[in-house]
Amino acid sequence: MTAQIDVASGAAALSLDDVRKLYVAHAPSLRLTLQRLAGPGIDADDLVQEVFVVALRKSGDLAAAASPVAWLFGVATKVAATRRRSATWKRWLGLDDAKELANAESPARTLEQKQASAFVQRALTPLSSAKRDVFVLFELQGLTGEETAQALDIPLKTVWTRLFYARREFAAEVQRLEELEHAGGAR
Amino acid sequence: MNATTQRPWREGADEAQHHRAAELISRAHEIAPRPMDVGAGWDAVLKRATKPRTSGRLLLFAGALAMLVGVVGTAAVLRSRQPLVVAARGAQWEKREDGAVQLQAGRIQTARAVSLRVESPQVTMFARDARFAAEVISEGTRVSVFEGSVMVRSGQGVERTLGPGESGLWPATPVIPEALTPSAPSSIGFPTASPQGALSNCSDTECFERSAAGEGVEAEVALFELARREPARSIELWRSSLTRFPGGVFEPEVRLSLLVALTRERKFGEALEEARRFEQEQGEDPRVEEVRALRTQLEWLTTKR
Repeated sequence: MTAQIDVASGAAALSLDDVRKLYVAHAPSLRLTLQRLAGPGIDADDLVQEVFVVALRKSGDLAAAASPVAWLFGVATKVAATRRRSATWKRWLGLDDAKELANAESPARTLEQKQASAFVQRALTPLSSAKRDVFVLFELQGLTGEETAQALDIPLKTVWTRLFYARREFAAEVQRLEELEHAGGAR
Repeated sequence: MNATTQRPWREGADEAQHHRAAELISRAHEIAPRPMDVGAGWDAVLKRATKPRTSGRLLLFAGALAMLVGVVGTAAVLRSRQPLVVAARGAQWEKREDGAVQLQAGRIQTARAVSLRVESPQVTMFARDARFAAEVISEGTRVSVFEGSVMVRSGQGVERTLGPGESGLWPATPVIPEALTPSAPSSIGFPTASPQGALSNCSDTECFERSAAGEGVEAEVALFELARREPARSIELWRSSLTRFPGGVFEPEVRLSLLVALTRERKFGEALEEARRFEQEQGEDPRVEEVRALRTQLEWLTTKR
């Protein structure tokens, strides 16, 4: 099986077991991040598998990365973006399969957390991909600025700029959604 | 993880707005990921990784390309099987060894846009990527173009090109000299308006019919006037006049009127005979030069290529 997997692309390449360890350690949080990046209705389990298939095939790149975790999240943003685009096309063509998907969040979350998560997901929708990626990795996933820059392959200054605008837009959208809810409740 | 580099969250003008957003983020950030069956998940990753690498886009593109090739190929095959020329019942035509189509009678139509040469007794048609119809009728050859262009060459090398939606009839109607188109009989001195004659009171066809049935100049004039009023019967009535009143006072006018009517009806052979007769018998008539000009046109129109 390993003969067909491009894990031995160089001396510094990670072994299969190394990649497996990364999977065990980070797959659940990657799944949660992928769900937030790709939006509702996307099979996050499938995306996690896709991320690690890339990791296996490019294990040399993964080994060379300053932060393997940031590298994985970088792949995750690309995978999520691709899936978002194809989902848009599928919806446009009427091919969207509305299957029931398991939430990537812990079932033990409180009602308040659940509501906050759903609200955050809605408020993220109008953000551009570039700003959403920075916002999700930094604010929700907890990556450092440097890790976010590495994951997205952008300069650190760009991270801060995007984060600044993302926060502002996110806050404005939160206020707009809450006003809408209050107006609906008042009627 | 980001404690060392995180910038202040509440840095906007509207602190309350940012405070609420930060609060929501904080709540969402606290949520732990759902636990996974990492064993099964890893197996699934390995299974996918060992599959041959195929690009969904590539497959989609290949599929679309194959479909396109299929559609184009099928269309080409169907197109090649389609007959080139469709003939109406009764049409007499043949495809010659040189590739040209010889049309003797009836109607043919090309089934699609083609480059083709078609010859009829009157004209040669050169079609260039054209869908068109050609019909040989008693008056000549009618050509109608639906798409593309057809150059039509008639006798004496005269050419005309027809475009989409255009049609034409060959040979073309010759130009009739103005002097040969008589105006109202009264204006050229016919005694139809004679106050003494019975015709002075005639205002309808029935009256002229009655008068024409009589004898003498009055009947001859009435018959002439009747022929003018009844275009559908004019040729027949003028021939009757020539038979009933040979050498009559109005014979030159009747012959000219008959010549013009025959020409307009595209009965070029009969018109040519009439023109020749006029030149022989009415050589002193001041309009003989115009008749000669018309006769020349009629001669080349009736000349076989």
